[in-house]
Amino acid sequence: MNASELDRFELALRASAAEMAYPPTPPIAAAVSARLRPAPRGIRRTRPWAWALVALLVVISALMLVPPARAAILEFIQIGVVRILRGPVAPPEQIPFTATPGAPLAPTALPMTENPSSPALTLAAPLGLAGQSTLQQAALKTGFPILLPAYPPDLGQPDAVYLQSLGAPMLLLIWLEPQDASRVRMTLHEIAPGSWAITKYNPPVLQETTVDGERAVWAEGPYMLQLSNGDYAERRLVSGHVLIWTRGDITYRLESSLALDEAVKVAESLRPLGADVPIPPDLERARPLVQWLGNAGIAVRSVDHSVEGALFDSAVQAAVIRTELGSADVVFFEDSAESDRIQVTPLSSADPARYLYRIEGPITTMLQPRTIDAAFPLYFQVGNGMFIDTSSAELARALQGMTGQTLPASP
Amino acid sequence: MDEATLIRQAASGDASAWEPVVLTHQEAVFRLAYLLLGDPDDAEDVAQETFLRAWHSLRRFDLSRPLRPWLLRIAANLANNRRRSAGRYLAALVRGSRETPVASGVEEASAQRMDSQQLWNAVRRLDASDQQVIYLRYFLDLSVAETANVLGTAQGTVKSRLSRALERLRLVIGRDFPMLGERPSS
Repeated sequence: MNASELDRFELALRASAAEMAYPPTPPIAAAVSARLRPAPRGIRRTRPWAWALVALLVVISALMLVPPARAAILEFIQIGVVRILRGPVAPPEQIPFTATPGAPLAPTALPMTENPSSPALTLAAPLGLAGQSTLQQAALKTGFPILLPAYPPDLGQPDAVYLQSLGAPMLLLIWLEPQDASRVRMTLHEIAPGSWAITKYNPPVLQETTVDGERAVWAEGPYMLQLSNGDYAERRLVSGHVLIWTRGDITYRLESSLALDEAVKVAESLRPLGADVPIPPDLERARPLVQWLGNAGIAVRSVDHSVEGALFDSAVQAAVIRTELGSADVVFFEDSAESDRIQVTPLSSADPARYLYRIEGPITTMLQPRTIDAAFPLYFQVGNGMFIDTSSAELARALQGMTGQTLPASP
Repeated sequence: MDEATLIRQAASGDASAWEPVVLTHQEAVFRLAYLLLGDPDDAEDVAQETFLRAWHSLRRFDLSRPLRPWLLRIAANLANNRRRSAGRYLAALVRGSRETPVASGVEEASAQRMDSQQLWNAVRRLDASDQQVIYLRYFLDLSVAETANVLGTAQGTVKSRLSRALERLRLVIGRDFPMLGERPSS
């Protein structure tokens, strides 16, 4: 957009924004004054209609997750975020190929392969896939543990990682054929609820199976698939073999040319990054960091609770992570935009054997500054919703790549 | 009585001095929260919480600086905290159901109102950082300097963030809201 186009766009934007219809401003001053008085405690509105709405939406969501025995007109199977339609339903009109792994889409014809039982998957157009990432970066953003297959033994780490977050995250992992990097060996979607919904239209082969004893669905193409998120939709033709299952509230979708029993083996081999280190259930936020350290080649020995969360009013979890390079205290925050503005100022100490640091942050993080008094120099980092301190210079250097922001350690 | 005097009195514990200050800024704070959250009840909660938290921090407020950007920064932080809560998905479902499609052939006055609503719908497709800078600069009509104050960043950074946000907004409008590009000339 050149300068004059920008000016015109800005003018139009400003004019429209000026006409924005806001709800009437409520009597906030009166409510605040009432809450500042000693008693009674402020005005709290009850909104019973909001709870009724939440209950209704929960019921609707639960119904969508339970497959009906038989629909009156249209049969469908729902597993996680994936819905598979069977029966008298017309698939959506074909639209341009979306570049997710799959056979190239011809406008009117199904793709022809030499061996229909082992259809070729090609990464025909990697351009157009948004959210290219790495395992390390994705581990910090998904909010759920990333699982990787340990089977087949020669699979290795994915060749491409995409993380798309429209509402909630969807992770896509792609493995390419070792002998031909233009062809896709396997893809694995890991989809959180609230991100994308997948609808499949009349797969020619559809059967129920199990993964780790839990219900799973197997489908073989060709069939139309639609990925949708609110008003945004992508469609493509699937010609491969797809296994779908859930674990907790995450939906997994494995697409490959493998037969069913091999695909199930792959699915049952999934393990979280950094799976060997036990993490207390209420320190789950530490898992991406543990995975990150593992991927960086730093062995993590243990994860325990840290008292350092008491420094901050808005900390949600605090862990001490012990590694082969030393230990780090990590405090996790809900809002990285505020916690990333925490400031640390080294202070002079009357005792040369003590090291003092003043910690300050936005008032939504901490209402007043705090001081840390340590027997050794500390290295501080903030970033990605974390506040980290460690006495190990080596560990601090290793963590720099993750937080991107190191605060001065000495006066 | 000027605002600085009221703030000094409030900082010393006089709640009655805080009320006129709240009255002066409540509309701007409420509107920013409403833009960020899309729900008037949530916006009211955030606005109340903003003034309560500000009250408790008044002793650390630098009186040489303007109050409104500081309040808006608190409100933006609180609103962003709330957006990331577990209820966000359900709230998005409710908001989505309110986004009714634009009908054709309406009067120009109501078409302008629909343009604003559709514009807001378009802005909400952007990420939180882009939304924030657009709301502050164009919806609340803050200057670049005031916007920089709210965001805690330099004016040059605000300008470059705005430029990128506008480019992304233009793409969203072109792709998903083509009618916004066809405003009748006034």
